[in-house]
Amino acid sequence: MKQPSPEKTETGADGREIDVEAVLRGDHAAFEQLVRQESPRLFRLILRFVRDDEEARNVMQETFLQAFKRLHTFRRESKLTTWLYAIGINQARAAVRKKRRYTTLEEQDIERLQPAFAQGMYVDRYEAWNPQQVAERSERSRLVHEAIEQLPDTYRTVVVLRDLEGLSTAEAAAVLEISEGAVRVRLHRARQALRALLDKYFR
Amino acid sequence: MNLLDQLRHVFKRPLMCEDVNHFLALYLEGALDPKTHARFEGHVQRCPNCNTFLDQYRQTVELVREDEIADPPPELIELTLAFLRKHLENGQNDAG
Ligand SMILES: [Zn+2]
Repeated sequence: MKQPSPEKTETGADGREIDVEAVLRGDHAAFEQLVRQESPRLFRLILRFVRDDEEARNVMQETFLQAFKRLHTFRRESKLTTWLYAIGINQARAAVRKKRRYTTLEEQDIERLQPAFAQGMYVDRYEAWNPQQVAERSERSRLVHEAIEQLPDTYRTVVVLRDLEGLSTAEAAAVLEISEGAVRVRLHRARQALRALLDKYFR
Repeated sequence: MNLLDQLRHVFKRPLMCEDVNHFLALYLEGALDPKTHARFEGHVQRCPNCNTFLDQYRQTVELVREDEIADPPPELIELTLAFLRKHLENGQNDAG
């Protein structure tokens, strides 16, 4: 069996060190520090899924509880925070599955929103965008937010992890338990779908 | 076949808009080797449609990055810690 090199500490979402060893020993103070450091990012990730503050709070609390109970299952194949986000996203998915109230685009819609090519050239002719002139900042933010909300979960998570939370391709792949190639493809398709959704407002 | 393997095939023929699109994310990240990067850059400079598309793609990413949502209120952390203490104490009593 290959032993991954154990990291004794790692950097949390707020840039401060997390004492991974102490957390794994079940040290309550170290776990408390993990809760303090990772709550904001974990809350944002969960809220993107469940879209309800109250529910996001519950899911986040449950995520930390599950994480603490399952510390012995952490295999050091990823960062501790990556493992924590994966638990959070799975908990959020389960919560959303129970009561789906929002319609998102389907896989075939994402396909339809990709640019079309003929003989290697774009079929459409693109017009320059000028979002600053077209819409007020608040209106722009609303349009962009709504477009992101329309993405299917599989695409929205990748956009949130990579473009909004700034995780690397490797980290996002570890959180979602998919390959780095799949992260790249989904991110590109998601961005192209967003581009197509926003095109009518910004040109 | 991964993206970088696909890239090797692109070298054997003239670069098309579709190739540029396919590797757009890597190109923007600066993840292509310098020679390929220069080749992509050359195409985008000569091809107005690719240029406009690339600009829209870039703006999309920038607009997405502005879509921040608020952090949780500070009291949520204290509530979460209280929740954990309660459940972990109960859990220890229930176990077995
Ligand atoms: Zn072109």
